[in-house]
Amino acid sequence: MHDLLSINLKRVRALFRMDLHRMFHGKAFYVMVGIAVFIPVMMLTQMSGEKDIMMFIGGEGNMAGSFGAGMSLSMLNILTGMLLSIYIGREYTTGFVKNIITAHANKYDYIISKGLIALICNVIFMAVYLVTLFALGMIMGVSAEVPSIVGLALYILEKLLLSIPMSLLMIAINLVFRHSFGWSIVFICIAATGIIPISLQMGLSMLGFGSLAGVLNFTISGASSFATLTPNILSLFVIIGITVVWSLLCSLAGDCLMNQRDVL
Amino acid sequence: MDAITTKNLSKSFKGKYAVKSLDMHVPEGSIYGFIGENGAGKSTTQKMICGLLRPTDGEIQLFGRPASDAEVHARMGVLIENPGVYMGWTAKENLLLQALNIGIENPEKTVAEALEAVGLSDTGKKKVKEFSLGMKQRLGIAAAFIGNPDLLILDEPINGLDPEGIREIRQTLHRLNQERNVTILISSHILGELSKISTHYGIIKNGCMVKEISAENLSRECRDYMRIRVAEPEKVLSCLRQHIEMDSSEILDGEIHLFNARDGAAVNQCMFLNGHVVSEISFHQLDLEEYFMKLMGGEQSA
Repeated sequence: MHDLLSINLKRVRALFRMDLHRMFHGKAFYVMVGIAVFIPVMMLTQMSGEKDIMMFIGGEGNMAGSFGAGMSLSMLNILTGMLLSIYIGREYTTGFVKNIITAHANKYDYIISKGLIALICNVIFMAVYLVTLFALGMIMGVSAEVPSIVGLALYILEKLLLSIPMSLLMIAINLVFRHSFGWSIVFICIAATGIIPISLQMGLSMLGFGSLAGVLNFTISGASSFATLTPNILSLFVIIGITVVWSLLCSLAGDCLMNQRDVL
Repeated sequence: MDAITTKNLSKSFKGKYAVKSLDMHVPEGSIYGFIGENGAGKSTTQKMICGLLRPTDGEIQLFGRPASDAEVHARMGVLIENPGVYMGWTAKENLLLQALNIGIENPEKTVAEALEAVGLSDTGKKKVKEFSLGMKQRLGIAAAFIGNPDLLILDEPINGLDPEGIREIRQTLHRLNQERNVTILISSHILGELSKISTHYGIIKNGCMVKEISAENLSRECRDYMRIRVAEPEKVLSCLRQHIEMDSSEILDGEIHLFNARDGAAVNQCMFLNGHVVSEISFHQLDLEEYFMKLMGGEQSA
């Protein structure tokens, strides 16, 4: 907690600039952007039957029920998570992390910088995904019945907000599995798809503990159920609250992992 | 003030101590040669100072402040084991990353200077994976001293360098120390090289500090002397004191030791003219390596 109170923004900025420079000068980021383009192209060209652009954006609430639709945007979290795995994993395998840790004794420098990088990635991936989806949809003549522009904007904002704690959770996962790219990807997919809370919620509902299952809506992936295309300020505040609480918890976990374990 | 102070510093791995109750004092502005056998705990100590390993016990202070202090930590440049660089990137790109990492605002000029200082300015678009071991090591050194740190921690920095490379690095470190008062903690197996630049030494054995000594005191302890074996050393010594120029003398284990007496012929003549029979006469020189061996208690490798 002391680390959290003694964050030096100048040092965070320095590390963030370094992370940003590496991101834009490396190949991995552009591969992920390519995938963010590829996903809507695949979905629009390969899916048969009646189609609507909004199907690929989601936003119908009810975590367990909207799993399929919600996956479209959650998939972008997986891309960010994979990118984080590449960056964090390579920092440890190349030993570059020695330079980082020496210059940044406060581990929150590292967590905040990576969190900001993840947020920027999420914004770019989401923008690329949505632009490709709408542009290709228009070319192909796929209908796009947007119920409300404000609702769509709020929905995207809420998804972005929830991507913050998700990214911080992924940073913590990467710090646990920093020497194993495979395991970090497995756990990132589990986190991003929300399989655990969804399964738990379904299980609890089936067993008749419906009210208890509602608690799971306050997990990071479960909170997606509050994000709908219908404008709702109350939902936005709930999501902001969930974002703040989980962001603090996940960054605290990341700080503990970095402080309690040897770097080399 | 000391740049580095450790008190009772310990580190254990699975219950086995790699460093045990280590007290270390690295004076500010010094070049501190850290000497020990393989596995003695040099790298572990250096990693703990850099914050790469968590001490099991004890404390570390940098410039009088706790090592956990982020401000003081940022005054440090390190090269621990292998250089932490991206193999698929060029030397310039790697140094640019490091310059950004430590917050240099306009890094291009600093990077160019650092590359020049270690003789890598002509590597162009060559990727680090195509570098020789020596070139990688020089890049690691450049990454360590970019941004003018006040403290450099170097673990075996001249490993893999050719004699010319070693000389260049030695000169660079010496210049950094003299011109910018950079404190340098350096470990190396090449004791001859260490003895050329170190102002202080710390000798570690089995994770414990055996001795800390300044270069001045070491040279006093290691000073050269002429060793003479004769039948009656007291009598001979009194005769030599009258006729031979020397700093001082002693009799140890039946041997006469004449300090700073360089004229062997004069000594020989003096004894011959006074009727003393000489069994053995030789010069004795104790360098850092012999001193180290003596402390380690045998003919072990450094």
